[in-house]
Amino acid sequence: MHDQYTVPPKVIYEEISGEVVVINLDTGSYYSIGDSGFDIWVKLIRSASTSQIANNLANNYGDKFDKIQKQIESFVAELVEEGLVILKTEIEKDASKAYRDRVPENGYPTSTGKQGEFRKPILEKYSDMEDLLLLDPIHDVEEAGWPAKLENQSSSENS
Amino acid sequence: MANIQIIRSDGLARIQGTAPKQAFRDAQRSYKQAELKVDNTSSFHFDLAGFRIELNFAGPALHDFILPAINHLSVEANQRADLTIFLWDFDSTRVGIPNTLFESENFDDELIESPRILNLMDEEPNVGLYWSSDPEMIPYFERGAPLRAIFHWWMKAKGMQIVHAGAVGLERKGVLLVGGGGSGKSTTSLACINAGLDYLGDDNCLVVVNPAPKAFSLYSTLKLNWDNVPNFNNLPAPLDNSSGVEMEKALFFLDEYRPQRMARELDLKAILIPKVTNKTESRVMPASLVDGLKSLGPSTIVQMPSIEQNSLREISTIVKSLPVRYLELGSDLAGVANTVAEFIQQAK
Repeated sequence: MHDQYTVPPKVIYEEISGEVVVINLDTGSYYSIGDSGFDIWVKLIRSASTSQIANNLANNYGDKFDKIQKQIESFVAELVEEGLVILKTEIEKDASKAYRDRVPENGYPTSTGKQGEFRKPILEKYSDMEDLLLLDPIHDVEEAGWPAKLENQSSSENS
Repeated sequence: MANIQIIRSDGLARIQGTAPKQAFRDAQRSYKQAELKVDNTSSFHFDLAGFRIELNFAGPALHDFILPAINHLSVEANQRADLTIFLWDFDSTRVGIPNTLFESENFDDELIESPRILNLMDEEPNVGLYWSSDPEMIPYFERGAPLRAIFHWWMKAKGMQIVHAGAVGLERKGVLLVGGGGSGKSTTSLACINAGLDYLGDDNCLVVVNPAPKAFSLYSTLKLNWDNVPNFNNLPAPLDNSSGVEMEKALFFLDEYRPQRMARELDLKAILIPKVTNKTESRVMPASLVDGLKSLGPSTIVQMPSIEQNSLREISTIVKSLPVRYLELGSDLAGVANTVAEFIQQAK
């Protein structure tokens, strides 16, 4: 409930018009998240815990906290399973600001901002690019320069 | 630092990052050695989005693997180049890549023994280097989009983005056709060309957003599913595949097909997302910005030599600058072309 999450390096995303498109460069799958899922995503990646998100959305949607929290936790579990977010380490948690300190000046980006019943968040997955990406795996290198490789890159990735 | 990309011997894995200036200068010297060895250099000029590109080859071995896809952009060598690229191969010159590129204890031994293609670019002198171990082993998809890594890096610095999209148009106005495999993008492109529309690319083109959205031709390549090829008459012979990597699609250079229909640039009026239907008639329907980003983003990203966290943002900027529509494809190909033509003509 109080865990915080972050987006791993091999995942890139872009928020557009109240939705977010996410690409997992490791698997080649890409996703779109809108509506309540978007509301969860934008808070989650800005260091809110699931209970904090549930609190916030229960107020926004005027719906029951317990119901919303269950759906949020299920959605976050799905994001974790797809490799789109990972648990923050204790070091990362200390380094990041508290949730309330990170609320942007103009507020969080929102989806439609509709009030009323909270609808189940949905993660739409697309796998049509997998073949292209898996055919052509990309190996990143340290910023220090080539040909140094990332320290955690295993030799099996090169086979 | 210079940008660097190495494609491994199987033509698949790519290693990319940055190389020290010294390594780049060493690679330039390697090219000079190659020139001296073959004593047969050739130079070609191209106009790419208004920029003058000069390609210098040490020997002719790489000509057929590099030039066909950009032949439609060739111009007289009558002015100074904005970007100069030097190209050589090991098979004909016996000159490889300098060892300074491999001096690291973290280096992949397999790559040392079997690099296949090297792309290097240093922005400061506006110089690129391209090396291949054996031109016959260049994968077919590289031949359809040669020097893409170098063009990506250099054009990005000019505020331009290579996108995975086609573009067709009429009287200087055009639309981007976006979508992955099976979307009907290439079939739509061909139908439009056959109906007399102009065309500046199918798989890749250059896009700039400021001051107004514009697309520029990059490659004349078109890729078509093999089972779709018989639906089109008089296509030129598809590329022979000698690289050994399975050709999932037939690859053509369309300047050999309808050269008079090839355009260099188009003022963009919309993004069209082809969508196959089971209807006869075609029509244009509303689509959302996120539909546009999903259709253009992932397939463009996978082709980038360097992917950064903001890579999707650059594509999002393009999507937000144009109306996004679905092009629902009916079974009548002439009707598809008419629908696109009418849409372009009505666009302001």
